[in-house]
Amino acid sequence: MDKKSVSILVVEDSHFMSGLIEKALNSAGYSNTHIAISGNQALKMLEKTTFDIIFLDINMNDGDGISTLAEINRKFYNEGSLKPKCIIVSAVDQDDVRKEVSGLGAFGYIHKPFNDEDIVNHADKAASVIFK
Amino acid sequence: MKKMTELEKDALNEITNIFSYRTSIALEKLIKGNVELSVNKKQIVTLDSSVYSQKSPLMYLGIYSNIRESNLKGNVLLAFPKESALYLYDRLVDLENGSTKVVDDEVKNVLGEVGNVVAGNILGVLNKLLGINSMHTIPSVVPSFGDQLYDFVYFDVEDDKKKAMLIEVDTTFNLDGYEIKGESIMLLTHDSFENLLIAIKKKAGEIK
Repeated sequence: MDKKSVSILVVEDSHFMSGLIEKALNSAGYSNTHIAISGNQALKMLEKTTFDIIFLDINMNDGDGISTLAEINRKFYNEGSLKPKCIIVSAVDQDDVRKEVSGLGAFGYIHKPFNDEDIVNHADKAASVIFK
Repeated sequence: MKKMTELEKDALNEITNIFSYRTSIALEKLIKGNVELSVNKKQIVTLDSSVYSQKSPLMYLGIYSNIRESNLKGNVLLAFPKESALYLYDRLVDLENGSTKVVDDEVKNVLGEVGNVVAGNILGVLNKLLGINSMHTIPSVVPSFGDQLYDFVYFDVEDDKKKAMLIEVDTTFNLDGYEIKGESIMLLTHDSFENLLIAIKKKAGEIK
């Protein structure tokens, strides 16, 4: 698998945090990265572009990430799994929320603060499932 | 406020220790450096009797989130002197210490995300330890936090702010030789604080 060909969308309203995620991915060879600053913007981008992996924040100014995930689930749930692979990146550390996003097909959950390795390991794992 | 039992005091003390530790770990990961933590003072008092009912000119910048969707109602706050806030910003965005002089929208954006991470971690502790579900709002950053805390807290109109409980941890974080002073504060309505104590007693098996 060529990491450059994996298209990744980072949905995060803090440009500081989206910058950290993008930097970690780029350093690991995932150079095809895009940023959306809200769930609504992400959904608009998904109408025009296909992404393999989405890193999605929950607590955002413009709508919450759970609603965005539900909408992605509604539109892109196919053949028993969610494509693209959605990885939640959130400061929220509540069991109920983890269960809810898991029920909506989230592929992984990264708790803020994170290490670069957390981001890259989840990207690797998702990419290996997509391109197996 | 009625007198707390030894169990309640011990549990709250432990929870505040974990708050500080989690905040320290959060900062370490965000700045990608070493953070040493020392707790200067911890106190649990009514808001009315706290220093924050007066003006607190040393604490220049406040980052606060409202707690919602649970039986806890109140705020999670971080407060910093100006120098500490600006130094933290410089470290977070890899600028030389002293580069940033004013708290503009960019500084608020970055420090707001620090508040988001810390608030999520603090509420996560209550979820893991006591099974309390709660969510926090996107943080607001207030650059003139030295004014009365009353101006910034969000409670329902019917809540009596004077009876609100303040759990305050005064901390110094040493970031590679530079000291950042800050306070992490959880402010709860009186009823919410009672709910917290009930959750502690349930967890300890004192009540069902």
